[in-house]
Amino acid sequence: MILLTLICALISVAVVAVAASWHRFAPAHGAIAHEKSLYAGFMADVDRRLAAGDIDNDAAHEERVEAARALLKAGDGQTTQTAQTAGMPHSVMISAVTAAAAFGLYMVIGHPGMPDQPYKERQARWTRMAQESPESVPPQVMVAVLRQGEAEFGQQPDYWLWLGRLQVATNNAYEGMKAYKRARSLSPQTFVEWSALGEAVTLTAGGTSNAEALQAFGEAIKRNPNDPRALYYLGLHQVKTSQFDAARASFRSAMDNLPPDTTWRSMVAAELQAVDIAQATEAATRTRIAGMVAGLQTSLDADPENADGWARLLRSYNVLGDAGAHAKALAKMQAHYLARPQVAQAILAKSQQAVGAEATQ
Amino acid sequence: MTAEIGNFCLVLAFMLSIAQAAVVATGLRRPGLERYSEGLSLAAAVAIIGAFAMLVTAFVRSDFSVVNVYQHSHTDKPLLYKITGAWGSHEGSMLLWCLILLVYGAMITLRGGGLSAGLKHKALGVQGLLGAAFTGFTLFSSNPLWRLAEDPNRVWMLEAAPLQGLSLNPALQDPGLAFHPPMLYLGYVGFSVVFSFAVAALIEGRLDRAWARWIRPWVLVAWSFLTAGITVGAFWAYYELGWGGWWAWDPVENASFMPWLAATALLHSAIVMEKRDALKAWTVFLGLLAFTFSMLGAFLVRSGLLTSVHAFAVDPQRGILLLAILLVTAGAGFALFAVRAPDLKPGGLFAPVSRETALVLNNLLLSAALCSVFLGTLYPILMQAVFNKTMSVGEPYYLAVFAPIMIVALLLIPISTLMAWRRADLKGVLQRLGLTFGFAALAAAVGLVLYRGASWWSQAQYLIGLLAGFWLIFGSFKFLWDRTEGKLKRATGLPLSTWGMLLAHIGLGVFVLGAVVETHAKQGATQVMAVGDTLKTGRYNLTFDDTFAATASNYDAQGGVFSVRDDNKRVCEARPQWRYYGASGSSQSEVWLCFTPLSDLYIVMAQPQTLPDGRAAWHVRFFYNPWVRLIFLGPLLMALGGLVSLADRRLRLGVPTKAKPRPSEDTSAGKVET
Repeated sequence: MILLTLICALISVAVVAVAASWHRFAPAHGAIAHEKSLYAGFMADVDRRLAAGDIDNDAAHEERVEAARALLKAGDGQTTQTAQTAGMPHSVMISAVTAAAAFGLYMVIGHPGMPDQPYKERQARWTRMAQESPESVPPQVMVAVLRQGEAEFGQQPDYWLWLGRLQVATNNAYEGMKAYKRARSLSPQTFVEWSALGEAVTLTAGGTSNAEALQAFGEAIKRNPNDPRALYYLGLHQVKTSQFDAARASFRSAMDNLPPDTTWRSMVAAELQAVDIAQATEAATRTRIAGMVAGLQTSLDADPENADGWARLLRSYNVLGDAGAHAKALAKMQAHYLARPQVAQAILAKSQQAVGAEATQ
Repeated sequence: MTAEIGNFCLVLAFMLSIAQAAVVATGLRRPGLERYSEGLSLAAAVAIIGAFAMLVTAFVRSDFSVVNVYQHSHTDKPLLYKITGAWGSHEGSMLLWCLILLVYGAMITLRGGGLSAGLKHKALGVQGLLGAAFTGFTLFSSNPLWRLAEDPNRVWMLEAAPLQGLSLNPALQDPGLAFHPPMLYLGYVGFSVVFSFAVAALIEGRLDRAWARWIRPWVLVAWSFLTAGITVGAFWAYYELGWGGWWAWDPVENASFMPWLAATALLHSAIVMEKRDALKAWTVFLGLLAFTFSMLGAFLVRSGLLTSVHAFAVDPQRGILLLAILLVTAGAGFALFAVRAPDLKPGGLFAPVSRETALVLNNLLLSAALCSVFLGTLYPILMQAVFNKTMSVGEPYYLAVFAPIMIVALLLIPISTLMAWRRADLKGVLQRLGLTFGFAALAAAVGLVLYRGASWWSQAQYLIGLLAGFWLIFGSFKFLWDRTEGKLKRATGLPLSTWGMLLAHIGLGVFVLGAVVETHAKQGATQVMAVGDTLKTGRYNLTFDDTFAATASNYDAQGGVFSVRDDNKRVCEARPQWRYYGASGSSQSEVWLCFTPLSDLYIVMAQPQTLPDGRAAWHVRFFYNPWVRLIFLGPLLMALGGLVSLADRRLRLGVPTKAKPRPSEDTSAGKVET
């Protein structure tokens, strides 16, 4: 607080000095001589431009008349001006009073007692805490402490494994995934945290296990068929891909291998219960879609002259994975457009077109 | 303590600005006091520089106890983006605005030795009022140095500050942020000086040629920076946002374009006033208008009225405060104008056919263009406010209304530059320009032959656009030829302001050519692509050869290696990226531009996805943008023209130089205009 006050005082002195020195060294204004010199310069410039051919005689005359008029006006104004108020002392007084008022206002709206918190200083403090009593350091802080050691320990897989665990634990799955991958790249033969990597990849992807995550879970199961974390995420993926029996088996196996007091058990149990509901919902949805497709099929049987309808029907069978129905519908469509093979080809192409494949040219 | 020192400096700048305005106001009754506004303007500039330096320091040191640093920075950002993050937010950019405003005020003091004392002090008084308004707004409503303890939205604290910052919008983590806002603000805020001079002249009742000459350097400075700022912004949007365009008639883009149009008109009317003592009221009006539009832009961007990629904040409370500043300052200026304008003598007379008339026409056309942009920008807002009806005004409106007005203005330029002051021989001028027009028409016709437009209307637009562009460029060279008679010696003797004008007009022509060709002949295609796929645009084939990974402290990227071929000839290898910024959890595409001398091959990869066959794919956009370089080169030439004009000895800032005092004069005068 005292230091801050001193610095504010120094800044105030500096601005007062700037203002005062301007009035000490700058030319005086308002004097008729100054106005005269200005307009003498103006006239000299008129002469120069006239000589250079930039303006003609008439324009030069007009400008000279104008300059003379302005000079007279300045002379008139001069009579109303009083003598200059004393220079520097007034300037010092005005700026000093202003600075004092500013300090007063700052004391009202500022936070003079609040210290800075630059990141480097905080890191140093956290490092001391981590060295003295690591158990008292929250995981987020430990991440910040560990990250400082990258230059020193960056070639050690264990360093990245620790960092990865802490990052995932502090809800930073993306950085956790990167740390696990770094650990794996440093020691591909000894890397064992496959299920943790798969989990981090899944969380990064917003809860969906992509090919990379599934591969990681596969590696985990290969090494330990009872890895509960891998089983749990595989179960979730199996529910999403309608492999309900496999999902039940995965969740049950995960339950069997989880310690009795872990909080995970309730999560896995809930997912196991949800499998039945998901299966029922999916069956209902498939029935509804099948009904819609059947309706489309019927309408095409009645009126086969519907190119868009054929394309939609073929695409629907593709999506449902019903190869037999797709082949049957394709044969019907080709039979209808036998005389117009180019239309049949266009329908087939449209039914196979990936979404988004459009040209804007 | 850094942030607190910065806070004190900001308070100090605010108080000094008030004092600066107060001494001038007091000086109206007690002459002599107003001269202290000079020192106070310097002191206020020093204080605001201190405040800004402290904010940058807080960003560099990642002091997350400062709300603005917490919200817009991260320790993983490179140093450059930590620094530029200082003005990457509403609050930080307001401090940058204040910094430039107060430094311009100090420049009036430092470089205004040639000004009449009365005008200078009154201008400083107005500048002080503006400084007080904007520093006050920043201090009390948008303070970038606020500490976390003051943030009502604070969710958690550890040692009073969060562990990490929320980082900066990825689109702003680009070198463009280092140049675009400062340049734009140097333009916007530069008009405050012209505004202050206009108000000061109205108060003093002293509007003459000297006044026009005094304001021209300031207009030139602001206009040049605004031109460069808008151009850099357009280029940034072009390569950073990945949409393939450079101007979208976005309301916030228009907000920067409106003061530019007003300033361009002002630049020309000030010439008439300086040379012929005419258009006094109109020139002052434009001086007021240019800064009013700058403030309107600030209001639109920050009030939450507009939805735009540029919109800083959606805070109606701050918007109302800015609107109040806008209404009070602009309202006072225009009210004073309404009172004083009838007293302004019309000045020099000129014939209906003269350069003055041509410049008046130019002003009328620019004003009509300004009105069309103003209407297109604000009409949707008014419709929403009054009738609760949502609508948007886009490119078709501007092509139908704005473009024809500007085409007429462009066609007039070469004619007006060859016209004489006071009375001109139009027939003679047209005869002198006959061959030039022929060349321009020939070049445009050749361009049309090479272009296969979709319709006759598109071809007509193309032809007229090319004609306007070539006409401007060839017309400028014709002017140069006439002035120099083809002799190098005479060319070197031309005033710099003439060279500046030529550069600006040629730059405008270059821009017009680029805009017309790019808009009409652009080609593009979009497709989901995996390695091995190809995509064709015009005569170019793009093949997705490979992928790669890249990483930096602030992002991780997946990139694609594409080869571009023109028939079988390899043109370039493109390496666009799709970047993920972990700190903010957001992604951004990084465009790759294959440069050819005039045109760009523009490749973007975005939205990664997995194909049904398991292959990784991206949404790829591939554009061929012909002559797009000219769109950015032209305005930079214009800005350069402005700066070259500024270097003209008659217009240089602080025109007077030290000269030996004449024996008959008071030596205290010190400086004379030469």
